[in-house]
Amino acid sequence: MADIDTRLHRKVDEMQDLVLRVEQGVGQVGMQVATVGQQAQETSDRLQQLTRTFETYVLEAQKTANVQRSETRIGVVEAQLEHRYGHYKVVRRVATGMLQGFDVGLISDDTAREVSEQLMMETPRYWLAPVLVALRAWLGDEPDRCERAVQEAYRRSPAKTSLFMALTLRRQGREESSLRWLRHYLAALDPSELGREFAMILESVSQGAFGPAGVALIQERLDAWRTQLLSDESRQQAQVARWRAELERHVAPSSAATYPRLVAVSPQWPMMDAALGRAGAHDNLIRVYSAMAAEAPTPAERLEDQVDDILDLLVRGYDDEELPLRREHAEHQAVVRHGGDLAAARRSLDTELLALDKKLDYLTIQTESALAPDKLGVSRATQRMAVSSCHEWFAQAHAAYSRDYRAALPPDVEAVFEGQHNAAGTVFQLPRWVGSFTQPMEALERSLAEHWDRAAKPFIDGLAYRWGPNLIAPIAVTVVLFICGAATTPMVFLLALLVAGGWGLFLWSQAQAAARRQDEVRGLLERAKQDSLQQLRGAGAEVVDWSNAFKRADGREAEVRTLIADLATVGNAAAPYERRVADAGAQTGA
Amino acid sequence: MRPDLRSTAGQNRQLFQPDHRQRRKPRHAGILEAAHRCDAGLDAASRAQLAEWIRAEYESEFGDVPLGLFSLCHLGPPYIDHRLDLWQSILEHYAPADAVPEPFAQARMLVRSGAYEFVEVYASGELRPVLNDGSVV
Repeated sequence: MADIDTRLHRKVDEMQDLVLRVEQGVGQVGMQVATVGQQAQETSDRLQQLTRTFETYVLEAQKTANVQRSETRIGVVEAQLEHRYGHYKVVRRVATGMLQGFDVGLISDDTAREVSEQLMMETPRYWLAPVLVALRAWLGDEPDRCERAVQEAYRRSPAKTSLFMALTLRRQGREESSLRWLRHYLAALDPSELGREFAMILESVSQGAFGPAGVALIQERLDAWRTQLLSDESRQQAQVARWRAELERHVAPSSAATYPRLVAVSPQWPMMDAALGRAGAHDNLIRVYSAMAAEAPTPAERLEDQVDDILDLLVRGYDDEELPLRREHAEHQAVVRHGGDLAAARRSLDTELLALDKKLDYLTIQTESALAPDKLGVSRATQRMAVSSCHEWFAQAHAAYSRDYRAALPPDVEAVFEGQHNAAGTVFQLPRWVGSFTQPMEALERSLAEHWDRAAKPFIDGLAYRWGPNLIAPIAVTVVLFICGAATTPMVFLLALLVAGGWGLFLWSQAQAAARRQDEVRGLLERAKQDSLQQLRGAGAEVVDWSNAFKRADGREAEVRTLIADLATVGNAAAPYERRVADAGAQTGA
Repeated sequence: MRPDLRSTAGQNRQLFQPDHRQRRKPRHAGILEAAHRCDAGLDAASRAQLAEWIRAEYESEFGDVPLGLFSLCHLGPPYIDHRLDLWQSILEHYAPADAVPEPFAQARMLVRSGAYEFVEVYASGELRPVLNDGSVV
């Protein structure tokens, strides 16, 4: 029986040995797996980094390719424009030259006839060519020919021809005929689908080019259109939205660099930054639009110059035929300008192309003249007038803009310190701390300091030397030795004393080391706490700065309102040519 | 003389659908003054009377009555703002730390900017700030 017992014991021992070895093996495998896991993690990190780099590279390469493609296309489009419509330029130049020639009477009839007929043949679809023939025929007193030429021009582009004739006749002092053409022109227009050249009419009004009767005629028509179009509220909203987009363009950039501590500790920073940037728009608006309000119109010396300027715009303006190519040209230019970023290019074109678009309603033409005068080719004076007549939309958009960013202000600004905000925070496993800047700074500082102390206490206490457990063994040994000594020889007493003393000394030095370590950690805690408090105080100071900066920027909103009200009146300043008529010199050319 | 381009702006307003035009009509001085009366201590009876008067004004003048008005409070610390509930005739003053009930809470940051006389709070949650000249944003 005992035999079996021993054998069983041995077997069990062997078994235990085996289990132990298996456990060791499993442990080793576990370690290896951990190593492999770590390596896999490293590989995956590197792979991710590589992917990121690669993606950036692909993006960059794409952008470069976009830029290159657009640059090539720009060349091609320009060549096409030159090839297809280059001769239009000649017609435009000749038109201007011929008008000037009329003034001074330096062009012979033969030359004018030859050139105009030549151009008529070379540009079969362009409206300006028959107009030149008509001009020449008029000058040469050939009414039949003149009428046929005008009819042909009118067939090619009724609006432009009417406008050209109205302007030219006005220039030559033939007011009555000029008004007839003007009426003709206006009657043919649909206010919800105006061509780009309509901006010229605004230009004429702002320059007083048609004389009082003409301006009254146009004004009457414009008022009727405005009334008609504004009965549709969605059109009005569209204009307000367009002005809102203009306001968004003036938003100041992020001021994160000025408030680094606030950025670091406050989760409300993005909202605060957005509000400050948006309030900053008032400043930019005042700069841009007060310059416009303050400008005095610079009158040209003679009415002919004025009319010539408008004629020039009309004549130089792109023909509708050219628009698709012009649009493509603008698109590619935008891509190049945005460094190949197609999305950004499209965004910028969305507002710009509006001005190139073929058909616009009258209200949009007003807004576009105000916001994108270059695209419509109108002068500064017309832009001023357009801003003035759009002041209501501008004011509405501005009021809503201000309301929106104010409403989006965070009601409370908090400071949040995560456990990892400094090195000691990680060591002490500091929990998250949240405080609101609506509380006084002293209370916040006290709260944060207490939070640190609370979090670090268990750690520091854990480092204290525990005399109790450490004393049990030496006391027990000493007592046993004493008892043994009492039973045997006094020498053992001595030994017991030595052991107790030595052991005590050893324990005391350990306790000293622990106390030193505790002090060190307390020092670390103190430094970390001061660091946090510094950050908190810094952020608090920046909250005050931000609040002042915001109040200052936001306070200018009222100035912008006044400015918009001022702008409403600038467009109504009497135009310099209201009561002027073409001088005698011009009339001799008629 | 050249006709005034600007004069058309005034005419256009009249062409809106009547309700829209009516709702955006500038608030008259009487309403602004009534809103200011909240800064003085009011007993329950005069409060109810005030709320009723404002409500009647909104109904007849603008065709749309807000839930209430929210504005800065000039009673002095600790109060910074207050709401006048036009339907329940409640006038409540709030200190910075007090919670303002919805949808009035959203108007808080607007009045704090100091740019508006008061903010009309509508049941739909829409906020219409009123400037000191009575115009509505």
